[in-house]
Amino acid sequence: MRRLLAVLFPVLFSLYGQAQQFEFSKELRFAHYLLDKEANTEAIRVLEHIDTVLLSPSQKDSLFYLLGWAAYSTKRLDTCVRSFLKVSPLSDRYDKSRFFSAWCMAYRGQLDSATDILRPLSLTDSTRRELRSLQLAGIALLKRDYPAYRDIGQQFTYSSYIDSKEERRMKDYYDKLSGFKRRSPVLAGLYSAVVPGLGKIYAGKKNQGIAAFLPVISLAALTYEAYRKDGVKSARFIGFGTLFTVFYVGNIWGSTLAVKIRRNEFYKEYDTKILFDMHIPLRNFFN
Amino acid sequence: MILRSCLTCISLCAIFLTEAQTRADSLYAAGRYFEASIAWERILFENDNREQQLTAVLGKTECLKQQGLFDQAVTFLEGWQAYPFPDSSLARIHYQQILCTYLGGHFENVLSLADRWPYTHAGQPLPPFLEVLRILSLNELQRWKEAGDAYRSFMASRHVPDTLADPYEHLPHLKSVTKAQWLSTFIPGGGQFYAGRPGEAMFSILVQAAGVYFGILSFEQHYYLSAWLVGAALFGAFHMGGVRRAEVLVQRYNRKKALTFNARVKEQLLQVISTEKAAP
Repeated sequence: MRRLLAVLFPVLFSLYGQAQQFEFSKELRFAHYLLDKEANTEAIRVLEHIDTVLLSPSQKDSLFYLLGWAAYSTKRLDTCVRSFLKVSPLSDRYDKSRFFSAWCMAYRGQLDSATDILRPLSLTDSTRRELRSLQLAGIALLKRDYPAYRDIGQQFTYSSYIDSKEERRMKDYYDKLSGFKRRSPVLAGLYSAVVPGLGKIYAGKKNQGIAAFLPVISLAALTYEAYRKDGVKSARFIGFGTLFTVFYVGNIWGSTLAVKIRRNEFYKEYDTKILFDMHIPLRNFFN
Repeated sequence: MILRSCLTCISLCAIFLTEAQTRADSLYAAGRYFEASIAWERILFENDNREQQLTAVLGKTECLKQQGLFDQAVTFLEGWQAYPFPDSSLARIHYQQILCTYLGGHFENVLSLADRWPYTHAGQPLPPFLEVLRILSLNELQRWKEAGDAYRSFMASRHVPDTLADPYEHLPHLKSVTKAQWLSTFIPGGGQFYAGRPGEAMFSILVQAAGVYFGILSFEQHYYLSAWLVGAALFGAFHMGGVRRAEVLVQRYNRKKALTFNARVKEQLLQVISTEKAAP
């Protein structure tokens, strides 16, 4: 009986393994079918339910790559990064997985992790190396690390068919970002104290400055009229005076905040442009 | 021997399909529409039997409808319109496509798909339920005359007795947005009165009158700045706001009227066809 079991067990185990393999290839084809029909969410569900225990390394690579790609298509960046990072260096899609996971991390603001993914890649192809330089340069700009950008930017050839335009634009973004004047919130507040709204104009928000000037100056005029006609102790003067003070102080406070808001808007605009120009060459090269 | 193998294969396939269908059906019955939709897709992926495929297409459509993904359902069904199904199956797919388009609120597309029906299905007339959807879509687009004609011809074809009131004899009286704007421009609160909101009209009149009163009073007492900056500003702000508000109120009034009318027509039409077989 024991002998029989000893013979039967490996046979049954091997049959179970083969059944698993068959099941895997069927599920993978089904996932491909769903992805072709743009049913990405369904494809993710199918791929997530595959048992990875008995899969070979190459099968795992196929699974994680496909899952990462489906998650990327549905903008589930968490799942995307997690799956792409599981693709092993033996896979022919290793570079692509690394590049895309680094981009997803940069998009989510995990800039150091994105750099750590890209730096150790050993790339034999000069186009891929150029592509990596572009990604690292973009990350350096997102971090506002201008010396790092200058170092990486020296590797740009501006002649690669895949990213020469983006390299030039990256240089332009560097010029704009490094040349951005950091306005002082204190100075903006002081300007608004002297002329209401001037601090907002100084911060770069011209329309808001004009819009702030009108109510403050109107209330100042009303307060002055009340003071001239009824005196300091009149209810009219106290009412308009209080309103004027609230608007006047509020405008000064608003001007100090406007500097920060304008700065954030400026950086956000360029972050979007940088991420876009990092993304397009990846799609063009790897698709 | 070969015959026996073939028969075994066929019976195994049949068992698999029955199991897969049962699984999809039970997931649907349990309210797990997303999982059920994957189960139906799996059937579509794994077999070439047209009857089974049609069941799966319709099953997946139901799942998408239950999830409120009407536009996705329309796209999914469009993909199967070009498949070499027999015409009766294509008609069922077309039927669902029109229904999902209506549920998705694309009324112009409903009309276009309904008009295409006789050409794509060998001169067959539009099924009664789709005729109803066509009339309702015309209603939604406020094409009352065409809707009325379609309604009457539909009722005549169903031999409905004349005792049933024709709702198109009393079309909803919609108000003019421009008229409301003009009224509010020259008579404060007039637009709001016209839109059927006397409370808001009174409030608008009071606030604007208060602004004018304060302005005149301040001017007489030689508070010229207050007259302008408070009185005139208050009046101006509420006057302009009143014009805009009148426009919004009239639009809301018209929408409500149209909805009530459409609901009445819908109820009547559904009552008429409730006794008939809806789907082709």
